[in-house]
Amino acid sequence: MYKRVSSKVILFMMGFILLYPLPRVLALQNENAAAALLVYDSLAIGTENEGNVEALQRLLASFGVKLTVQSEGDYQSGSMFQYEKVISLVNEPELPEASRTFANDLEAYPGDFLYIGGNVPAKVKDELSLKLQISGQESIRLSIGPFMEQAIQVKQIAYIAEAEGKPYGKVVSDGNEEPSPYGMIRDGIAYISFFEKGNLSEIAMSYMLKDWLGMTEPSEHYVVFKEIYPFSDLELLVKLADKLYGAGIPFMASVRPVLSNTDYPAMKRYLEALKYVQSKNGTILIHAPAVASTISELDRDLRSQMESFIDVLADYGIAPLGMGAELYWSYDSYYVEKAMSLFDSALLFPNEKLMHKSRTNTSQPFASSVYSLQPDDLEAYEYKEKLMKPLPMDTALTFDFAQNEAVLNEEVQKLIDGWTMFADFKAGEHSVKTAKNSIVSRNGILQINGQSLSLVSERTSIDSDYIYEPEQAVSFEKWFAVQNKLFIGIILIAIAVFAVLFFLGSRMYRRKYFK
Amino acid sequence: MSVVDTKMKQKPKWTVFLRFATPAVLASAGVLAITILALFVPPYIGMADNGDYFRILYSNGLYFNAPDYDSQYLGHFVKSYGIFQYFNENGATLSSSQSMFIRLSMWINQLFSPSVFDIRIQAALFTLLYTGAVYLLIEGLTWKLKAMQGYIIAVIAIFIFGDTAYTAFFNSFFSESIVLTMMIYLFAAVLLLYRNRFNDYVLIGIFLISGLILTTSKQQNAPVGVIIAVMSILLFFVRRQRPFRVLVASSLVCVFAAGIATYALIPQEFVNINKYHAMTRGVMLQSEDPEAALESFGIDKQFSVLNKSIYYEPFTTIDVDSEILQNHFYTQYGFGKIVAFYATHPEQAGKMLDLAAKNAFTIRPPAMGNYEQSAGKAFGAQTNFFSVYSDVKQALAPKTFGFIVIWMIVVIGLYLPSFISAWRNKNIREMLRLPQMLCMIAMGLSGILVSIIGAGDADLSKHEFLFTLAFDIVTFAVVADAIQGSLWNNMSVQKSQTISHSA
Repeated sequence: MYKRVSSKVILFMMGFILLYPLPRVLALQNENAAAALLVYDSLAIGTENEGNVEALQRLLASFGVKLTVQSEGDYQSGSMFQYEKVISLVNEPELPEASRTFANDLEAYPGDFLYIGGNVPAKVKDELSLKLQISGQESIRLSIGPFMEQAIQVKQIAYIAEAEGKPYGKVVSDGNEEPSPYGMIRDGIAYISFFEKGNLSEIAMSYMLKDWLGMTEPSEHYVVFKEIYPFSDLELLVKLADKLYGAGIPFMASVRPVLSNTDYPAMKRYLEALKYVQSKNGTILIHAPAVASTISELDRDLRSQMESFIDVLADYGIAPLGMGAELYWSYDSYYVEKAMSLFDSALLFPNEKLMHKSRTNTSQPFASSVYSLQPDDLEAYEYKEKLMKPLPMDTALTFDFAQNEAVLNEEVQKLIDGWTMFADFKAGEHSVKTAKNSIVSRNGILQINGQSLSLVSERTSIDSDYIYEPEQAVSFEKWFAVQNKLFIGIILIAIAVFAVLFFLGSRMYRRKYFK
Repeated sequence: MSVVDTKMKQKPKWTVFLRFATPAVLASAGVLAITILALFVPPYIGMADNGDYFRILYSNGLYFNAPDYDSQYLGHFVKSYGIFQYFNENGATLSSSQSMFIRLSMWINQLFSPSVFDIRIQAALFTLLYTGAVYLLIEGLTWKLKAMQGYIIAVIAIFIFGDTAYTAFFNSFFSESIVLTMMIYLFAAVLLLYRNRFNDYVLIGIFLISGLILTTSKQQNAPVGVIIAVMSILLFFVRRQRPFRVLVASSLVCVFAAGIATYALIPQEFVNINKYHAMTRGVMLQSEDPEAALESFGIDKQFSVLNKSIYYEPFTTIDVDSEILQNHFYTQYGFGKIVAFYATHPEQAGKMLDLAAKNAFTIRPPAMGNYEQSAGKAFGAQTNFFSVYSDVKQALAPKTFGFIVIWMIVVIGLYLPSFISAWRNKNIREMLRLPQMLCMIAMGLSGILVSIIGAGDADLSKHEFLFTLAFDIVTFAVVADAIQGSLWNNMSVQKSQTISHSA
């Protein structure tokens, strides 16, 4: 997939950045994010459809949508009318309808509606003049834009035999060479025949979503390295920065926050390494801290902890521009209020382990939100063009920071050899605010509290000398020292006197009784 | 005639009272009454969940059925839990003798409700066992004792062992309730052997069962099995009969093996928790140069940013079970290396022991509330009902390790003459008292040392329950022996006025 990037491409990329004087128009601002409702029939836990809801949530988050998610069974009559857009995802078409309420409301719903999966409602059929051909389990070929994936196994699919509207993608079954559209949109009503996480339907969905949501802004490719800790191999991090800088590839580093001991030499070394990364065209994102426990007797204020780390970075001349977190953080009012609200840009990774503190079913949208994609994900698809065009949404190829140089070299070489142009995250507008610091990026310029930041940096060696435990102030130290000496003297004299008396006594005893 | 009759009738009444209301009966009845008032009369007293319950609960077929359970963590005691009505897919996350008591309580509970478990059933079970333990303990200390002395000891026993800081554990899923009950049984069994009271075989049976249950009640107690087995070797020589010696030898081997097995079965999660704390709240905590300390273990000095952090921090730089810590941190040290570190850094070890001593006299962990939410008490509110002893102990005990050392020296010094005397007389039974005290002290110390070496200063007030209990039992025994004037000589050979048994 990746081909060698010629020097022309690098020049083109640099020229692109330099000749792009206006700040990128942000996809959405928080306050006017599109509000959408996603209603699903089942989470399909334990089936191949498990995770489809989350995949759709991540896609919609990358388009800056303020999404409310609920099951069909929990749907309350009339609630869909509060939303501009409604999506219905059917994971298990065999299941009986959980509630007629949703279907009844849908008939009267005037807004945009996207239906995904089987059991298509009459409204969608009528609006799109849809004729479907239901097929059982089979292997299909899916193509969308420049991408194609062969041999996708589907359990059940409703091919679009006839429809009116704008078609998206092509689906070809093994037994029938006649392609049918993957999805169809007409006047805000959209239908997608199937959606499954982990195959090309995820990317295909993004193409349709962009149009259905009315997004027109250009998108970019980014590259991000995560799992960077203060005790990662910092020399390796420096090498990574040097290599990518040498290859002209801007990148992001989603670094783990340090919530205590930020004055230690170890922390200073971490900061030095991050500052160096920043100087080599690296953008620093703050990764969400690990959530060890959702209940704790320890009174910790996440907001002050996050602000404190941001301030430590800012004071050291490092400008973090966003937050990296698992998707579920944006569906938790505690994490949103205490941490995410400090940032207007986020990179949302797939969920690994849900650790909710105050779960909500409505997401926090971000002005700038980047979709995370594993490098292997795209390699599974055929790509018919040479230069990798940006996907419909801002996308970050996400690497876990390598733990050894061999793996690091391999990953960097892959990026250099590939035909993907990576954008510089700081070329966009991003802001991070704490009580003490206001950090912004604009046109590639970083500012902290209005002061432009110099990106030139030499690494400074950090000495290990540090007083970890300041000596406690002691009262009457001299007095006690004198007192100690006095007592020691008295004890020594007492022992000497005792020894003399003991010696004399034993002599007298012997003389008296052993004569 | 009638006057004489009346006098004769009055005397037997008093004697009858003494015959049945022995100090042991009085103490156990007192503890029982106070515990019933505390645990079974509203507002019920218990212990709030600190987040540890789920391990023992789910593996035994129970679950949190209160919809607002999460909001009651640490703050309120919860008495009702759901019983799984279908196959329980939760495997045992830890092996503990506690499961036995929970299962038994659940079985009794089924008679009342098949779907809701009331923790008070378990509390009732422990209360009965505890009453028996207190009876045996006081019987061992007051047998053949003057009435007044016996009753003074009984009142002190009620004051100490009826304290709700102890008994509140019965209404909880913490294994401290088992530690409390079994440690008293263990002490009482050896004490009664020393006093030659009751059947030796039955007492060895109590010794074996309580030793096994105590050792396997929690992972921290693994050394307890070894200590009991080693310190009780003298029991083997108490009687010459072969069946007795076989019974004692096999009991000691069983308890020893239980200690080893408990250590071997510690789940990885606990290993990580404790190893994490051993370094961040132990080795690094009191070090003047944490980077150098880390490097002495072959660990990257950058890990010094974890200094003073605890496993239970809600938000952390790194997941404490992560691969990085697993590969570059935990694998670099173990129990032995930490012991060696403290041995070569005695000043730091001293500081840690002093730190441990600060929490060594706390019975009721300060973090957990005692009341149900429905009682209307504040979140985390703790009871004051019959807790004078624990409050006074917490407030007045000198909280330095030096005090603990002096206490140990005093106890050993007090019992050494009687031990030497018994040794000279070649009376093995009379030699039992000092090793018994040493065994208790060693168990208490193991509680402190295992806490520090294994987990630094984290959660000390709960980890040191073993010490605080050992301290109370030993100190109480010393006070009881002082009251009866038998500190320097052996009670079993004393001929005193008896209250009931000699009558």
